[in-house]
Amino acid sequence: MLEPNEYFEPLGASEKRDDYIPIASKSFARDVWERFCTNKRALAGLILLAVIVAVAMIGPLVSPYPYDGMDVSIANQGPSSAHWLGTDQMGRDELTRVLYGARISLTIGFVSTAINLLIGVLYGGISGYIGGKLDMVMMRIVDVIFSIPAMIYIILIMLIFGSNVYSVMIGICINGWVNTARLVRGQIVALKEREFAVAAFTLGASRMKILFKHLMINTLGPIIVNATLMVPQAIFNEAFLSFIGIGISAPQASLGTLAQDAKMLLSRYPMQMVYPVTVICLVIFALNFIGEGLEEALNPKGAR
Amino acid sequence: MKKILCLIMALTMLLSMAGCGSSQTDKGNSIVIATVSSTGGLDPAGFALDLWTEYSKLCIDGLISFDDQGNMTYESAESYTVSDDGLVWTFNLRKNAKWSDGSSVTAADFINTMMRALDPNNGNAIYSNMLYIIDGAEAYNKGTGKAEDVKLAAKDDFTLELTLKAPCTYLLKMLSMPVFYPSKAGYATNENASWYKDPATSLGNGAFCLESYTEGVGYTIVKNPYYYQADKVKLDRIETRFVTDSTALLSSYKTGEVDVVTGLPSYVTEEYTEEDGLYTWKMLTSKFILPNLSVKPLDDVRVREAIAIALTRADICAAIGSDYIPSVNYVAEYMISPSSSQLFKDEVEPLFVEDAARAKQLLADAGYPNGQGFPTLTYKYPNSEKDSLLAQGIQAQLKSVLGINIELVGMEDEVYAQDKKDGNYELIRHSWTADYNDPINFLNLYISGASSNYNGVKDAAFDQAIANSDAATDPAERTKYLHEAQKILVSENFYVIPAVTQVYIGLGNPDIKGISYCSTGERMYRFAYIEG
Repeated sequence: MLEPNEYFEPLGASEKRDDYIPIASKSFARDVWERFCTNKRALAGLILLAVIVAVAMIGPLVSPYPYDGMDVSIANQGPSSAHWLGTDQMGRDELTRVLYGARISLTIGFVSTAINLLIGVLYGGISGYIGGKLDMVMMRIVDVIFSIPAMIYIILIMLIFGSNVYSVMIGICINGWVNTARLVRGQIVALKEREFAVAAFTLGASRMKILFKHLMINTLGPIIVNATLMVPQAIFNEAFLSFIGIGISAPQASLGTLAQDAKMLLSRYPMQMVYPVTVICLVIFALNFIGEGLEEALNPKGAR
Repeated sequence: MKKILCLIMALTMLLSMAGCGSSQTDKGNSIVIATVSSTGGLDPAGFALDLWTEYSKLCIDGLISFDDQGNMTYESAESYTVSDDGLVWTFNLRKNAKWSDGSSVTAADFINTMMRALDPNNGNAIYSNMLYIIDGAEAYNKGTGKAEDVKLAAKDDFTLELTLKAPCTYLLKMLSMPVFYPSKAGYATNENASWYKDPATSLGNGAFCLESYTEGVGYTIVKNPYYYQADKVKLDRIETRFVTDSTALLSSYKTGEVDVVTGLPSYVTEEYTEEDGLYTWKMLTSKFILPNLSVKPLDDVRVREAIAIALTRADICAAIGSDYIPSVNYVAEYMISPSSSQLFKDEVEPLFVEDAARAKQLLADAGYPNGQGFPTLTYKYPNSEKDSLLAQGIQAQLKSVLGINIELVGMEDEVYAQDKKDGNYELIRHSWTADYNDPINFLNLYISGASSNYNGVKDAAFDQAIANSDAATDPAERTKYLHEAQKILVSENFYVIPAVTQVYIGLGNPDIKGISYCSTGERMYRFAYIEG
């Protein structure tokens, strides 16, 4: 007959933590980041974008040429050791102009996207979460704003504030946030009845906390994907505005105005058109790849 | 089955018809002109802009015309007389001048255009103010007078009499303005706003007449069989097409699809030679900077002069293109003197000389050594590629020479025009193209109180010089006063800062011969023919 203490054998010291699965617990962000990194295309896009941003920031600072000088004796030159991408028709260094233009275009792209997100997420979130009459009123306002073409706002703003970077940004933002707001509202309306939201409410969480801590987090996927598409959209809008001549004012340059300036000389000096357009393409490719990668990383179940 | 057969038959017919269409590219005795400019209409009492100019050269004969050398030709008039006091001008019309329906060109047709232009209800008549020299015209046009009081009279069918309110020595030059051209009375009316688009009402009294007109696309004209010089007209048909894209314009010339193209980009001069048909038209135009005289520091003449002489215009033009020519003259660079065969500008010393060192000195004297303390001024310009380059050139040079900052504001055309009118600017690009070939057309813009005096020039000496020129009966004496006026306007006060002038680049089939030139130096194909 065994003694009671003999039914069980104590574990040895080495066996004590056998139930422990040795994988570090990961935060949501880290999880996403790791999944993102496994997507080579997305990673390449991110690196490309980082390089373009870095070069656009530093380039004009270290360039020996000003973006607005004038020296007609060296106008329209091809690439040389002094001017790597040649010069434009006023003898300005093309590389400096392209980098400077990229800086303005990227600034417009990112800043206006950030503003759009801020307004759109708050507006859509509040409208969707509170619901009822407020939702109804807020969404009709959105409809009205949305039904007027962006170009009209932009031209009106240009007339009032003149042609500069800020009016382009305001113009792009003024109805750019509407899409985000609709998207967020749709998500929130669907999520607010879900169990976890009800549970949080039952446990006495404040409405603010539920909205921002529980619901918003779950809409992050679509929002971020939407944002990566908004940046190239804003850059395109600016390029288009500059192309039709109501963008930023000369001698400042954006990628759009550079393309516009080159249009006149297209058949003789096509390379002047190629440089800014190439940069626009690279930025947009990079952002699209990043967007795609983020979409998969944020929503692994939906991954193809 | 039958249906299918029918369909096939129909298709075959359609295709064969298309074949016929394309075989018509053999143009025979006709030429095709393609142009970028298609602004305005064909009504001399309406928006008579570029389109009218092109059309009237071929289809409408005025009273008297001048060629580019200043030689006079009688058109619909065969003689004229002036009363001793210079007020009553009588034009005797040709009795054999005919409209394209065979009817005679009468004094009533000339009066028709003038009265329609003066009609206070006609908001389109851009040149009605040119008629204000006629007694009673201004009052009627402004709604304070009656139509009967306008001193225009048809003494008989072939005698036109104009009574002026003050002597006007350059009236004959002004006759090139659209409002002095005839439009067939009874056909051309203000009630029917589209009369000029319909060949049935849009008659010609020139070498050609309208065959068809399509808004925004182009128009075709055919030989006018009733023209009194019809035996000298060789071409049967001229087709004019509006093409907005200059690249398309050029390629249509390359393929031989069109014979003449105008309004080409300046790099064409590097690719084509005169043998290929390259030609330039020296426009009677002046692009200049208008300083707002009531804005500090532009109220200081030293600052204005510093800006004027700091610029190296040749460099700016080199950047813009070979169709821009540096000019230090306010009156159009290529305008012929009213009293000699020389260019107006060549009769006197240059109005000023570019001199960067002196510009710096002047700015320092005005209290801004090296541009220190000089406020940032704005320079407004209409948004076009060329004007933008001009603006950037000015901006870059003022910065490097004087150390002053100019903020460039490119504007939409309408807004720009409004700001210019309202005086809402510091520096603004202004441009003036001669309506008729006489310096007064430039100079009288800045008479005190004139509606075109956008920057509020108020200079008694200038007004006196203009008044003296109006009173002068001797052409040489008048020219002397005009030079004096320009000197006061530019070299002494820099109320306007001349910058550049322009040439218009075109390509024309070298086989087209017999081209003549009108008073503004533009090509005329009235008696042209195709060689070979």
